[in-house]
Amino acid sequence: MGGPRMTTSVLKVVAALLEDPVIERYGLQLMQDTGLPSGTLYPILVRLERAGWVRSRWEDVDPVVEGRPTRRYYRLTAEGVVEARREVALMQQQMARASGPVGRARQA
Amino acid sequence: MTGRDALPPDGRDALPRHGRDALPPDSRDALPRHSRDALPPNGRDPLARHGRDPLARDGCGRQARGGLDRLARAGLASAARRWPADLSEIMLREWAAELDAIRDDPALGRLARVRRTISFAGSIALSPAVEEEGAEPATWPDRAASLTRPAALAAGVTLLAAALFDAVHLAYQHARLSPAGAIGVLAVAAFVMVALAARTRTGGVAGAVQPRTEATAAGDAVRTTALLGVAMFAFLLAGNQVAVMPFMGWIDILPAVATWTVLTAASAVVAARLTAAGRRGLGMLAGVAGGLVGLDLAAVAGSLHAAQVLGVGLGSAPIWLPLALLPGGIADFGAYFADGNAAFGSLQASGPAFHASGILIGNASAMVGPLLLCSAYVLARASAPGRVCRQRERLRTPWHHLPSALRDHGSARVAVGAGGGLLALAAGEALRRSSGTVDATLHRMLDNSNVFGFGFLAHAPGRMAVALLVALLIAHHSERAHRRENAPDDARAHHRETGHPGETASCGETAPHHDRTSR
Repeated sequence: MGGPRMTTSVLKVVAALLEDPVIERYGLQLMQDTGLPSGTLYPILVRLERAGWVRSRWEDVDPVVEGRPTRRYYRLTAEGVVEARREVALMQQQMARASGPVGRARQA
Repeated sequence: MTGRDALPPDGRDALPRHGRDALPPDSRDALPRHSRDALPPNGRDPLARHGRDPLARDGCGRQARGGLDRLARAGLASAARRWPADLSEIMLREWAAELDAIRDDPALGRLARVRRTISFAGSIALSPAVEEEGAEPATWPDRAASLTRPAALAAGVTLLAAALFDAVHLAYQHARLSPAGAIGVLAVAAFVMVALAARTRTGGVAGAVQPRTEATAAGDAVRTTALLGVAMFAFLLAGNQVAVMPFMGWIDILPAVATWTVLTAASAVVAARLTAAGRRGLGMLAGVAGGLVGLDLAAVAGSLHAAQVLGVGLGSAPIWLPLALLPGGIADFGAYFADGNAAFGSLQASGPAFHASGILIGNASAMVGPLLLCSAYVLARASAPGRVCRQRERLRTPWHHLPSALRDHGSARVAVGAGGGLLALAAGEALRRSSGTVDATLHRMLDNSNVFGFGFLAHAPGRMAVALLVALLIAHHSERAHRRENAPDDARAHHRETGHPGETASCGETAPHHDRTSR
């Protein structure tokens, strides 16, 4: 299966999930972590899940006992952790390369 | 190994691949008990509860509360319907849960809660849905094109309808046609619009037809009619730049176009639904009948102001439409102006003695003539069969006989577009000049042969806009036709059948109602 197309928004989502790959996050949390609006976030989560980078599950609680509907949680899969780390590192390298000449010029 | 394969065997994957049946058996068990119980028995119509009834109980049995909450849920339900079928239920439930979390968050003040609710639901409601699995995500240029293309097409169809009806009126003027001859000329103009509808419906190349369900066909009918209504309103308002029509202000045009839009859209929806259900003959009959009623009422609505000023009684209203479409002098009614001086609205002219009906009918003709041809376009488009399988020989552009070096060159298509734009400009200018002087207007209103519209071509921006619009439409049409003609057979077959390049289906696998249609 091909990986998702990497955009800034996708990188923000995988970076947020990578902060602690073991922790599951729900949509609102990811919106706060990434600053992305809901209309951008959810399509990205679906694409990441289709690509096998992310896995989701419904919260295992009784809505009546909790007094609220169950939420859906997301976390990176093992494959997703590897791929996400690689993509984030790649982006950091590209940013370092792009900012390198500017940094050197500033120092000079 | 795919990500899905890597999932643990506990089956808590919430993303089904082919709907609920594709879920691991225990995945449904992972759904909240009350939500699961809320599903319809067959579990296949998730929006039946959530979407059509946004006030349905939320996941924990409480009644949704507050107008904003209801509005937000309705927006989410509407957005969910646009998502792929296998995701809509799950996403709607997830969004509803997040909406509840915002609503019940004690850390949020009242205003913050309202702001977050609006931004959460609004963003989802306004954002494009995720693409079907396996399809490429749409880019912003794609989305922009999908919005501008129908609007440009509506503007082009409106200009063509107006130009054709002006040509009909020129025929009335020069050939002195009998009513039967006039009906024949009108039928030819209507046929041109029907043929255009067939071409645009198929994306320019025969056979490239997208599948139609009743809902998509009805949606297309409403969208097409609404865009044409807007374009026609703008055209009629801008067309009277040199005031040749006495009653062509917004107070005349708006009722006519609004009535036409609503009634024609309703007729087109009925026609489209019947056609999609395999009853094309009945659909066409209903569409034509409804379309004529819509036109007749549009003629009345657009002439009420004129009738009031001219003192024409409403008893003759039902025949205003047929009289407006035929040459003048068939029937006269209303006040008689023996001195031949006409001073109504923006018309200040003198000529032969006339009845008030001559002014009313001539004025109505400028509105309902182009609307009649737009009706032909809309109803032909709505009644088009949903799936057509044709021979490859017919999957050709009109210029397929040209040498391939010329045919395949992109600049050739740009040249075709530019040539079309210039031709349209010349035709529009010729029609504008044909409208003649204000003094001649009275004579031509009385014999109902007035050429109306295109007054905006008197100015350079109007000329540039028309030339650009027509050139872009033709170039775009040529490009799409060229791409389809050169697409591999498989891709063409898939596109023809599914509307999506990646989905598989074959011409032989027609649904029963399409079989009936093709017969």
